Amino acid sequence: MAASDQDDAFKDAKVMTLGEAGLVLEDVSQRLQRRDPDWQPNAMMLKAVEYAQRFSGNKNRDTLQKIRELLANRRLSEMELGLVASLSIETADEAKKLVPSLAAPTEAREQLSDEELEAMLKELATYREFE
Amino acid sequence: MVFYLVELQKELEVAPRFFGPKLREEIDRRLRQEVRWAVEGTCNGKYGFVLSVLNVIDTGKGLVREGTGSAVFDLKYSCICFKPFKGEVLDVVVTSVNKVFVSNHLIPETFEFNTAHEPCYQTADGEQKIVPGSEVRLRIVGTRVDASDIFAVGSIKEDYLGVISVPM
Repeated sequence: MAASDQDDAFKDAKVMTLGEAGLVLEDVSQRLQRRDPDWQPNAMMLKAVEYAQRFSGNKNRDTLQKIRELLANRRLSEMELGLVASLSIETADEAKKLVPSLAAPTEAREQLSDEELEAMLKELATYREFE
Repeated sequence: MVFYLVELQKELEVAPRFFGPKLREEIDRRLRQEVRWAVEGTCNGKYGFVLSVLNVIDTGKGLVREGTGSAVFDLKYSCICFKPFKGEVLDVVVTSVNKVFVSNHLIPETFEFNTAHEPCYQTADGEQKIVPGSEVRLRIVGTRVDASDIFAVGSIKEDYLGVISVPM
């Protein structure tokens, strides 16, 4: 990715958006607590859940699924997908500045036009409204 | 902020009394108790902060050890990790502001951001004010990893970065 410094360790890793990670962590906490009432989440996990709740616009499972489908169809990389969803980006200009790789072609796709970017972001925004 | 679903690996030695229909159950139990206990909440240089151990992905075929009779499994399991990268943009909550640096305690207590070289808490016309509790969007300009921690420096100098909200 153009502007970021991603390691080999994460080359094959899947990215989770903020909303997705929040949901999974909450699910896991509930499951573990049901199984063992004495179990407490560690401080890091608690803070992560808190962070996800604070900064994620999307908590609805179906919405998150739709967002992922939408982004996957536009041939974004895992990292771009995660960032665009988590940052609630509004305009093409903002997208290209915050996620510089969107401004360039990649192995998987040619250059995304501004119109394409705007269309994608607009659709994302509608999912954010319907909670 | 971007989280990663990562596959990690651990060698598990299982005693012969568990060989049989309940083997998988025993491996799951070990994952839940031992591996989770050892790995969750830790930070390492390669994968960053491991937030949660999720599931067994694969156990492979166990290799029986000569002498003890126990089998060693090459356990692959999934977990959620977080590691900040240079160039990444993310939102943070400010916890303290001092004369030169703004410190943001992000996910774990040990993880700190410092935004440096900014006129920092207030711009000349008094417009942007950074106070504890403010939410700020920044870009990571550098990271440093040591044995058990990650430090990062961020910048709010560009377009679309800076204060998102102030506390009520």
